[in-house]
Amino acid sequence: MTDQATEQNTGPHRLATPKEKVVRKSGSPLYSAFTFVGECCSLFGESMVAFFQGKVSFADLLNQMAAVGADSVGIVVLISFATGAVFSFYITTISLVVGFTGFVGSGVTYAFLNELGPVLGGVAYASRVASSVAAEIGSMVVTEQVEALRSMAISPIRYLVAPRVIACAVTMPLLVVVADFIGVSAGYFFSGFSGVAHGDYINSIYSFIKPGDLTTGLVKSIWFGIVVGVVSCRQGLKTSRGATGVGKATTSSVVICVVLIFVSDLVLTHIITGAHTT
Amino acid sequence: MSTIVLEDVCYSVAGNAILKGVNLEVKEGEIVSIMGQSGSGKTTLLKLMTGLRRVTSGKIIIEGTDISCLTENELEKVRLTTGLVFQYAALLDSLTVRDNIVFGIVRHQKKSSKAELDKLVEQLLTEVQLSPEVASQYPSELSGGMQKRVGLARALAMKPSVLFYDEPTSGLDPVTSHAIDTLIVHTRNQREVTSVVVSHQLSSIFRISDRVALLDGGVVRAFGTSEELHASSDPVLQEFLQSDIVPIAQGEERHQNNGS
Repeated sequence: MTDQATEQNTGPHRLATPKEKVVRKSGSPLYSAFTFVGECCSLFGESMVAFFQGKVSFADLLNQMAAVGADSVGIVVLISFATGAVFSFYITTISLVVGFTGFVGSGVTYAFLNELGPVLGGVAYASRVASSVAAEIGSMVVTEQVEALRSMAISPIRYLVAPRVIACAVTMPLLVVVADFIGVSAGYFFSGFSGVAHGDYINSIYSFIKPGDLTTGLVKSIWFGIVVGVVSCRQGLKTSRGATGVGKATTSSVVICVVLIFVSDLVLTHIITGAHTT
Repeated sequence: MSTIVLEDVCYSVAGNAILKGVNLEVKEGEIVSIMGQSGSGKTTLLKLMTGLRRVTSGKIIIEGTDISCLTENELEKVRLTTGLVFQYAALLDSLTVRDNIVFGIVRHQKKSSKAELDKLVEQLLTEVQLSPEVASQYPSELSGGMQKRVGLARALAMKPSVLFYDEPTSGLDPVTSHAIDTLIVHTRNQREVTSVVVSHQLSSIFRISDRVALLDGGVVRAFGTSEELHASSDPVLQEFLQSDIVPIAQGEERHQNNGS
């Protein structure tokens, strides 16, 4: 049928048919990407509407903040400490070669406040929170628990999604502040071991770092928190095909979150630094 | 008066028609069972009746409201008057039995005190023939039969006027199946709820049902009382009814005879 139509149509309209086929084929991932973005926006929007309408339980919110926030402190502290120590080691090495150690404290702090704190915190957060949220909601989907909620007139958005998204958006900046503090502190101690005077380290921070640097990191971290919350809930709710599906949802959730964190970091950095410089 | 009316209900997934015009009426306080082979669309039909899935075309009227055109928020109001007992109970595994049972009430009627809720849980557990001591246990600590009873208690806690049961006795031993059947009839008699049961276990179906529908080929092929169905000359219906009592060897022989 299609072949006949192609053969018979030699006019300008029909010349587009093979192109349409190509577009259709290549459009499949594009369609999936648009669907993904649309569903994430929808989940976020519905969560915000539920929150501002007062339909999200405060107890659920606190539970989720404890689960996604407090329980993530350990991994964030560990990663920030190690990175702060290594990063300060490299900067100290260069500064000793150059013969000027007055930028070690500001270099470590600037990098942590603007970039390392939010991105490392975001990746640590994604690996821990996105996997657990996607696995939990995914398991609930395949065991019909989400349908059970709906059958009791309880919206999964209000009970499952909104508390997790809001908890992620609130706790992520707090964790980033912790990551910043630990990373800068690690730099303070390890640069000291390598020969940078503690006083120089502190003075360097006071001389070069501005409050706007902290704000930049916090703005990024709020966005990363929203990304982790929304994407992990979306992947969890889309779970199908039993245990295998839960595994796939968990993996894809972490992968998508990490990729989105790095890509959106690039965009946000350009936007924020552009705003600062103008 | 009919509590549930299905008019030409069709449902397709990815172009594959599962239901092709189902018509059914369930009267107030009646127990109607829907039977059919595995994959015939029984559970799908049940989920359409509870609004968990959307019809492709047709109408589903629950207590005067056509739910096929409602939004999710509007559907929530209808769901407050209906209950669904899932095949595998679908209890929230992070909550205790007590919290599962009162979950809907706590979410919808926040004024209930802890003492009132505890009393309600005890009463409901007794009603579904479970010891009140299981209230503190988690679903994973219960047997399949106990989980189904807790699922029923959870549905009853919302005081529904319509109850849907998805394969309530599948995977259970005959004694527990009989107890669940008794519970379904007892619930209807005590609470005057309209009940729709999806099952393929004939012994259970004819024990509890006022009327029975056979779902075959995406449509209701037969619908009536037990006597009416047994008296029917429909070959598909008779084959389905006989399948429960004909021994395997004899069944195969009969099949071969029919074929020749």
